[in-house]
Amino acid sequence: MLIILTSIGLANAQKSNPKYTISPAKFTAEDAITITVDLTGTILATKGQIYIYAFNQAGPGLYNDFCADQSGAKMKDEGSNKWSYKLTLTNYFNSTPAKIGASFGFLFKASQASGCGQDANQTVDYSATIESLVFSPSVFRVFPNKFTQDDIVTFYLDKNLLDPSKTALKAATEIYVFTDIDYKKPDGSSGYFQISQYCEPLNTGDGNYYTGQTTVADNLALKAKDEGNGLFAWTIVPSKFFKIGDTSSPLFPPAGSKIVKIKVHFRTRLSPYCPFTVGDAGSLGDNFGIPFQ
Amino acid sequence: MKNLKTLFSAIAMMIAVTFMSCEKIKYADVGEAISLQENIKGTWKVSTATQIDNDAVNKNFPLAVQKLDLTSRFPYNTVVFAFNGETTGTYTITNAGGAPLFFPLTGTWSLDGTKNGPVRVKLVSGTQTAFLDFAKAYRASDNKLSLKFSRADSDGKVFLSYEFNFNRN
Repeated sequence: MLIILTSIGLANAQKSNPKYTISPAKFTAEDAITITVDLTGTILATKGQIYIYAFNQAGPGLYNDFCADQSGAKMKDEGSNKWSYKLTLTNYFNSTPAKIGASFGFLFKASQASGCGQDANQTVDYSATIESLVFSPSVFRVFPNKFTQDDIVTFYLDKNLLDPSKTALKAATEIYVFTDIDYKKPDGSSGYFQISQYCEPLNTGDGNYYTGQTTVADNLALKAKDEGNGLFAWTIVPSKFFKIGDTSSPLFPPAGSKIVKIKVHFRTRLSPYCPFTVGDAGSLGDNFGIPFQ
Repeated sequence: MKNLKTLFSAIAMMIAVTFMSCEKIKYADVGEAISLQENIKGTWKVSTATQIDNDAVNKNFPLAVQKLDLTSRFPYNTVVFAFNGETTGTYTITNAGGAPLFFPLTGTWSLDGTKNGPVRVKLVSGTQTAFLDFAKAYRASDNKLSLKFSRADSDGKVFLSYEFNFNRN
């Protein structure tokens, strides 16, 4: 009786509990990470090819068949009983960071060919923390992150985050934008267009702007909306605002033009860069170009 | 023997009592079925329009940078969708205020995708085709409708969407 019991005890070997590392140590669901395990001193070190098995609330991972020796789950033999695996969680679970959540589980296993689920052929379960993707507020922001020229796009200025040297802009209660685009015409040639001219009075020698438009200072279409708490927003549909395909002027981008870059420059009503400017001198916001998707 | 008889009577009484105290449980009515097909026909007026940055949603960014209310920025309250016919037919969108819309204003509508995935509304106008997804499911008697227009990248991953909530007109 005692002998039988002892035999049973020996046959049911424990799951291994080796040490592992993840590089980088802090990672988000979108980062490429490498998991390395050191099997030294464990029974798994004698078992040949090692496989990873990962699981998460988002759903099944790419290599979800525990009993199979899936080639995509094969770990790389680094020598000295060390094995590594490279993955990106959003890719492995085919899901978003929001759905994947704050942690994921995994274990390491040997071939399951001799019988699925034997303790001697796997480690215990592990769990690792996933960092959330951090939204960093910035002085300029565009919503949404990705857009086409036919979408509604909002450009934000957060006055609170302006460099302290921009005193006039920080103090301004009315914020305007100066804006222009680089675009590609249907024939492949490049174009440049601005709705309103930068300075007042009008410089009629510059052929790049739309004749007849008022300057930035008087063009209400260029006035940003005060959202409160120092946030100003300017919203347009780029293809409509920049009059693509509008035949009422030869200066407008022709139909079929694709905007390549849009520059939005937040400023006060008046600017110190223009000679003969009347009234208080403003100061300039920074330029930022938005490469189009 | 006598004890056995008593035991049997006792058990019999227990069983009888058990059966007497059984009541049929009354379940509440399941109610009106949610039927997407039935729900789309008719005339609908936009109550709210929202722009959603799906990239921000996927990254679980703060709510303030996930969505933008468009109803306060453009005259979406003047937009009316009219779907004629039962399961397919012509449609017309009136847009008195000229709010940005991303699909043809008139054409034929039908329901699409019943086999392979969620049901979508297909709008066809000449060579143009657009799809609207149901953002929420309603019963016909809710007199509400919620449709979403999405933009996806070349991998089919949605990066931006517009959600329109309607009340029956």
